[in-house]
Amino acid sequence: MSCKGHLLLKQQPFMPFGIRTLDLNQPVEPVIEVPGYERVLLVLKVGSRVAGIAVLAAPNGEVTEQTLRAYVADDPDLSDRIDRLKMREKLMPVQDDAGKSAPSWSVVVCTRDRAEDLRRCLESLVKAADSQGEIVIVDNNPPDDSTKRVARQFPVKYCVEPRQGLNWARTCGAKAASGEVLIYTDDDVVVDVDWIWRMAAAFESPRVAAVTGLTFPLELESEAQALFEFYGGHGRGFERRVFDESIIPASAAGLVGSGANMAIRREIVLSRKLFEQELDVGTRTLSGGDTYAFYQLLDLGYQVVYEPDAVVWHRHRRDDQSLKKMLYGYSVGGYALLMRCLAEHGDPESIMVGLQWFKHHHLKQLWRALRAKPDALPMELVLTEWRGAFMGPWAYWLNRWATRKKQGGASP
Amino acid sequence: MSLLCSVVIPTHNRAQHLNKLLAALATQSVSADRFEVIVVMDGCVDNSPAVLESWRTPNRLPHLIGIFQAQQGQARARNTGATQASGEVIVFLDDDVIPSVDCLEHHLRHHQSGQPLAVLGQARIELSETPTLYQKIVWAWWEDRYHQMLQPGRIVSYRDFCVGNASLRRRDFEAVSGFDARFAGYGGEDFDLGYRLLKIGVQFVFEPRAAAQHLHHTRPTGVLRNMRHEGAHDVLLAEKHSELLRGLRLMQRTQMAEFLLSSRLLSEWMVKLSTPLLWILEGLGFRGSWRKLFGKLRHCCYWLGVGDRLKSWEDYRRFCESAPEVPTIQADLRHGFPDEPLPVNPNGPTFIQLRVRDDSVLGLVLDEPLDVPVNEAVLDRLLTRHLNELRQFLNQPDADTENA
Repeated sequence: MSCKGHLLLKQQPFMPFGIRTLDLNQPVEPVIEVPGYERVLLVLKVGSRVAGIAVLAAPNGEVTEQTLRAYVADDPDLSDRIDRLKMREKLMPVQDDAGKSAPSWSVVVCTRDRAEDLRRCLESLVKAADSQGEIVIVDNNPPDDSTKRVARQFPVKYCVEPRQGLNWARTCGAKAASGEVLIYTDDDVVVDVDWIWRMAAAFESPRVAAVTGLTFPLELESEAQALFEFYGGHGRGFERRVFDESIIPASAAGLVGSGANMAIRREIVLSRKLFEQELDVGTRTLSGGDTYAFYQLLDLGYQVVYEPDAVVWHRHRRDDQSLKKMLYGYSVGGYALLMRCLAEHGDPESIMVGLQWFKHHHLKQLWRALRAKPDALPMELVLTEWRGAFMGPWAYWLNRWATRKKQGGASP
Repeated sequence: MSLLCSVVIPTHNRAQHLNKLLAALATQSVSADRFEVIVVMDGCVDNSPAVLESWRTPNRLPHLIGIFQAQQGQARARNTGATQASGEVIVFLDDDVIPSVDCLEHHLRHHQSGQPLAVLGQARIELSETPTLYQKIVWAWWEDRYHQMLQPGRIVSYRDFCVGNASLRRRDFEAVSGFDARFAGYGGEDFDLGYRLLKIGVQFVFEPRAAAQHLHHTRPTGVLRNMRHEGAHDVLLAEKHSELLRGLRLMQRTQMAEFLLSSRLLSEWMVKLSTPLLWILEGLGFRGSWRKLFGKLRHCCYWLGVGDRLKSWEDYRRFCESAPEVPTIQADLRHGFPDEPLPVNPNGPTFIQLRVRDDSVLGLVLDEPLDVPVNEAVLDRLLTRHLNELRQFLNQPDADTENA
């Protein structure tokens, strides 16, 4: 997410960021209060639409309206977007939001051994649910019945997938669900009240096979969380975009969004067996099951819509070890995916996409870290990403051999 | 018992498709003895007559007429078929369009009112397991088109009139004296007919339930040839209806267009020589480059087609300048919808400029003759129709998409 957060992040010692939402259609208070914090991440909305964020210092838990105005005026993209959103509210308040017959939906939450996170997630989901759909909980290879006990307290469908791996859980959810679109999310998120219908309503034409949404941090209490948010994060900007193969090469599918906030037509998930591979969390490739699904969809000629009006709030891992593991996992998964595109789909564009990614992300981050730029990622994390980048292609082959062996062993 | 409708099918050497199509017609929800089928074989040299013969039995298609003509193009073939028609309603189907069971029923349901209507059905392509790059483009194009046509409150255009799966009253067809046979080769004739129908007050109805499967078979080279026809036909269309010129693609001058029109022979060879590159790029899997090249070639072929009729850049410029001014109205939407209705041209297209932001203007051509002043409701419909353009305009997606 591009913002000035990393500059505040560099000022030691680390201080947590408070998070607040402001509607710019309402008059802004002269002093915006964030009690208990010295820094703040403001989510700026125009009506129900997100215009952008502002990351500010908040001495004594206060930000003045003037500071915010100066920040907005200083960022031409942000102020332009606010203007355009206000214009849009005025011009098409009706066509954009109403009159659309949204398809029926099933929210699928894949979870493993995180009962408390799941409870918070379900509480928000139940509020967002309307009569057009259902909520499905997939318990992936549960070690005990804690998840089941939480699920029982909510009006949800509960099912168990004994094979460990996020992709198996996603497939299990797809089979258990009955809605036209499957809205996937993780157990460590809280969703906005209008999230479900905005995701469902974004399926406006039969060519749209998938929709992704915007993900904000639920809290930025630790340095690891802030680092993840300001350097990697799930955000894909604040502009609505429609991707297809004429916009990006299919192998750059990582650009369209992530599995914590995505929706796919159920019929396509099942008929194309989108998730029925050994991929993602719980396997050697560590991540990328969602990206591979997007790859296949783009490859088939479908569109994927990025809908920034559909917002979820993700609780990033608090400890440094998890942050490292996550960044490593993204790199491994990303390059394993590109290897797969090359090996199984004969797609030479994946080489170019891989080189571009390496140049624009990994090389650039290393260069910045070496020059000790103010917005540089800590060297330790840069090296973690590099390790992941080199492990990725291997992870793909190891995974493939292991899968073959398993299949060979299973058949008599 | 009188016939409900006449199905007119022009065909050219596609006996296999024809067989499927006739099979689908014989099993319609409308009883087969209530409609007639007129197949016009336009220079057929395959076994189409035999296929026809096999379906002409009392329990299959009792009213099946085959007409043979030397190859004269689809427009004339459809006219030939229509003159033989005895039903009150004519349903035009292309020979690669396989109607679903209740397709005719849905066409006829609208015509029961007796109003001057043209019913446009859909002919969707089914995406195969492993589609080629080209199939994906064609599929996407049709899907987007049908999706656009389904938008509520959308204002129709003469370009909605695609005759692959469409029906109209025979009376209206005769009133505008049918297709213009000067549109030889691919396309154009339906847009021309559509415009003339709109002018005499025929209303278009898009009926997605009048569904059919489109067995699309053209290959990239076929499309390039069709694009060339399209260029020539756009010129012809503007010659016939000069008020349409403003909205046509040939008004968008580019440097490339100037080059293509000034040195036609050279550009023709360039196109010919670079077409095989498409196969190489596709074989190697370079889809992005394939797309770019295919887009460029299509563009070139369009302008070669324009050049086929207008010969030189000078002629082209003179042609564009000779076009009558289309009335232009301006609406300032910066502060919401205007209170006063805007005046429009009741006899033809109107060019509408919407000022939505301080720095830019969105131009729209309204090609349906409108006899109502543009008030908030009409502007609202306009915006709905052009919602995607407007959305893009308001969103201004950034160009930075290359980097993963």
